[in-house]
Amino acid sequence: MNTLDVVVTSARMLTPFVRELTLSARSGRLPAFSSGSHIQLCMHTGQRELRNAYSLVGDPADTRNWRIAVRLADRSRGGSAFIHAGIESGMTLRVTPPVNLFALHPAAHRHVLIAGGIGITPMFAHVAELLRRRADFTLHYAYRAGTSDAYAKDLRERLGSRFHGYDAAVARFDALRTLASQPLGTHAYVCGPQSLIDAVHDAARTLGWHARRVHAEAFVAPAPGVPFTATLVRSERCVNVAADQSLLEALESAGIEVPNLCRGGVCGQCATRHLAGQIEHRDQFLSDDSRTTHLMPCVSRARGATLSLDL
Amino acid sequence: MTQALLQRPIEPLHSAPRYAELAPFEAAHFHLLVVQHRAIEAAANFIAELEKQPREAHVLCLGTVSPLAVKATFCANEADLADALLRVLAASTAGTRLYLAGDEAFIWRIQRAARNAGLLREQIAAMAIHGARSVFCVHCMSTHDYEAGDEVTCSTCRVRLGVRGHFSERLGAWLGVCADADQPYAEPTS
Repeated sequence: MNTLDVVVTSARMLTPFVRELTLSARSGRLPAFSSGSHIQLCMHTGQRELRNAYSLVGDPADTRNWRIAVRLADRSRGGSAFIHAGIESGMTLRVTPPVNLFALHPAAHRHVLIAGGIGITPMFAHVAELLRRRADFTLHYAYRAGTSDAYAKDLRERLGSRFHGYDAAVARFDALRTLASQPLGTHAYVCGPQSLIDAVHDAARTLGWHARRVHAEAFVAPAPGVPFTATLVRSERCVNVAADQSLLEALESAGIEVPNLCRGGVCGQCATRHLAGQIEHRDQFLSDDSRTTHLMPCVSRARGATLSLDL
Repeated sequence: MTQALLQRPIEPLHSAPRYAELAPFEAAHFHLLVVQHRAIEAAANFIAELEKQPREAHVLCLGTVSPLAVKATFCANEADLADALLRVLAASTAGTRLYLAGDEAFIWRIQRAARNAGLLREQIAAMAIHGARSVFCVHCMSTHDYEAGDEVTCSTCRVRLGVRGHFSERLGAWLGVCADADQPYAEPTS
């Protein structure tokens, strides 16, 4: 796996639950990235290596610093808890180069950005990019004041009437109303909980939009499940997968590299052929047809005690 | 040799445009048909379908035909039609569907204007009738319209072109390559 080392140059709390890290190259500049990109952060928690994907928050024009912002998960598998408690300024971290699965559409005439809670992270980079391009855009941000409202004050000040905030205590984001009167060349981008993403897709469908006008990124972490054993038929090995570990992580811990980008069941890179065993498919990428032969180990698991893979 | 090179592939190339009978996209919030008067007859069934749609429908027609059952604007020439198209698109929402009926050269000129106005390829459906098509000359990089056929003389550089199976959606034209390198010009250039 292609990785690079970065140094944590500062760490600060944006809200009581969101911690922002600023990362710099050990020497020289960092690789360039486009807004919407993410990196994978490799972490060692206890005995285990964990790799989580985080959007780059900062301005793509800044090649000296990267920023990520991480919400402490209610049921952390270790990643967000480690970032909140185990990382200090001055530490060196191993990360993958940026990859973009949530880019701005090049032909859009207007961009409508919709964020829920920590889903603001890729939007913050989009805002920097769109401001520089002097593009036509608005930002709709649903949050809980004092908890999940990272960057809200800053964005409100910078964007003025282009900023629409929805504090859960007093207001509700209405996807249908927001999309209803948008002109012909509009593209919508949504990042946040699945319910928000579904609401935007539903509204777009109701309004007769083509699906390709809506770009979504869910922050999906592999949900835990029942422990099982994966049999690797070609390499004649067995790999145990713990309850709070993904199959992909278990394979990586055993030294088996599977190509992957999103680690959240959406990009399709890690699709692997399965040969036996009942599968619990949890991805949002494979068709029913391809699921008969493939699974995505970043999120999917065995339904029973074992499964066999063509690895 | 030339003959062998020019033989059409048995299957159309992936880039070759596919046209189909028009059908209204039920979920659209606005239906817009742009049609050449020559294609009105071919589009008659579709226009009847448009009339039944619960959402607004509008027809932009190049040339004049007898009144239509759907709200229509008739344009005397293609420049007026292009202006009218941009005016209508500028006032429409992202839930718009565009339908095109006419000869291939016309369809792709309108398609290009609509894409520039912000429509996605997937929001545009087209039905082609027999007539003019466009060819792009790889030697002088000009595009001109001609009546269908596998060979044509470039209207700019006079090279005799074999029209290949590749179609460029961006240019709205078929790829034209010198048909015979030993005798590139259709007639002596003297």
